Amino acid sequence: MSRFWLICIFLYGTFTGKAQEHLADSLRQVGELELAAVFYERALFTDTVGRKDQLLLSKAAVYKSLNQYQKALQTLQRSRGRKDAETAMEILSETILLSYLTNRHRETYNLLLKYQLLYGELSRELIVIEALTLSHLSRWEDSKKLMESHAEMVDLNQEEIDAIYPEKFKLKDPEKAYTLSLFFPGIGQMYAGYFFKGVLSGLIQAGLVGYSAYNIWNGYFFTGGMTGVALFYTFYFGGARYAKQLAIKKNKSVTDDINQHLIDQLIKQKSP
Amino acid sequence: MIIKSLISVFALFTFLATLSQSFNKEMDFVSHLQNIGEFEEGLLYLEFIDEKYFSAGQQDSLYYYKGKFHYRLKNFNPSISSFSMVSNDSDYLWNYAAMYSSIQYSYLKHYEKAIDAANRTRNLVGTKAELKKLFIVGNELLRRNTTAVDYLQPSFDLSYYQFKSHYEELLDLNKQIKEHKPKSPFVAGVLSGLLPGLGKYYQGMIGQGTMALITTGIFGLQAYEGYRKDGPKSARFIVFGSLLSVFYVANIWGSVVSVRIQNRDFNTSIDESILVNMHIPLRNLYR
Repeated sequence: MSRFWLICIFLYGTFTGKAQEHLADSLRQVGELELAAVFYERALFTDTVGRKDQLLLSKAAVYKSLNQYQKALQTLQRSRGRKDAETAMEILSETILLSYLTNRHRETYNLLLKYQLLYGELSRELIVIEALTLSHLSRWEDSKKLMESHAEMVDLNQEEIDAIYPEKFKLKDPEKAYTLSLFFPGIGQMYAGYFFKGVLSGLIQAGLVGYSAYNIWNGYFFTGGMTGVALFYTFYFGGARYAKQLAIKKNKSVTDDINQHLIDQLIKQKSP
Repeated sequence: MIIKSLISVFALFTFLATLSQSFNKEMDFVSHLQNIGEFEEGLLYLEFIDEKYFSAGQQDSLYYYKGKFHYRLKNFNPSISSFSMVSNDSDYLWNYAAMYSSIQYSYLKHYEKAIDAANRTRNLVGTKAELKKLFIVGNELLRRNTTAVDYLQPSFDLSYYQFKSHYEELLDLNKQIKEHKPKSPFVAGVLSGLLPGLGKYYQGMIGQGTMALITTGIFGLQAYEGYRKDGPKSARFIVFGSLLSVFYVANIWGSVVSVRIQNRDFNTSIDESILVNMHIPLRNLYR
């Protein structure tokens, strides 16, 4: 039944862009999001009263609700030409959010700088995004300082902030992990933060050396050479490569941890 | 209650009247969606505009756009289905629908249907008529009907510069198909049984063959060493002997599978080339 009334509104909607926009808004409210997006495009197509930017924002918002962040971002990027400060600010703010949601962290940071240059103070939402972005770029000290200087705005005390960021964490260098494991098997994995994997690797390789030696000593040359030495060779270089991978994995895991804590703390604020 | 139904009737009436007239505006918008590449949005919109309210000629445009958008989204069957609803009122739309249905049938490997679709076209002249010929040849080639291709060859009009290179490509592919001698999986298996790695050499994969030879050799030597020093019941011999057997059998099986894959890949790549040579001129002639 409501669909029928929608079609009736559509009748009037064919005439003016403004009416189409209203139609799109109604569709959005009843949850017909994809259809709303089409009708925003329709309004854009017939736009004669300069509502282009507003319509782009609405359409982008719809795609955001559908979790199609890439599409939402593309929609906003169609905005061109002069606009008043308020609309421009809104568009930039949304662009920053979407840029973060599509994991373009470097670009998000640049846009945040641009925003600050143009409009000065960041809103609470944007501060949160900046903290998260800095964290993704592994700049935890800067992220922490940002939170501390805006502690009031994000409503966190020093204790809570300290709890989010680990005491002294430096990024693990994958190349260093690789070299360490070449130097002494197992050390690289330990450096990357996985102690027991390092021990295991070291033991396996020591075992293989022993096995090779035992065989060759007793005259089993083929076995000692092929199974023993060849396997050792595999584990030796493989272990070093694995240590490198583990370092990268550790870095990512810590970043994700911090970001999760940040989000948890900040969401906690919103729902008392 | 009465008022509500009166309003509904009035609204419906005016809606129907206006919709038919604003049809061109709707088509402009649909065309706009096509230009900005929003095919999903386009399909949503086309679904929303219920075709019942339009005249037959206008319905054709709707089906045409639906078919086109589905095609761009690579939804072959829905596209063909929409195109099949296009009537023969307009030669252009009818032929457009037929040719795009044809290429999509080819992609779906329904080669007879593809040929039928191409033959459905009417009143074709010039380059478009030549394209139809190209499609027929292409589909015969896809069916590996090389005699049909040879038979059709004299009818190629090479004065059409757009098609010259595509015809030449197709003829070259025809030659490749005729001259191709597929490797036999059976032979590969037998050779690998005689000497691990030999099956791979037969296939042309020198690197993999050598690897197989070396690994089985390694296990073989160690098994031999175990046998000589400790006898047939020793742990060494049993372990390395088993590993040797496993790798030996795996190599035979691997060679057989590898040859089958190699033959299949050859056919796939030929098919892709054929389809490309049909698809490009289609897109050029029917934009």
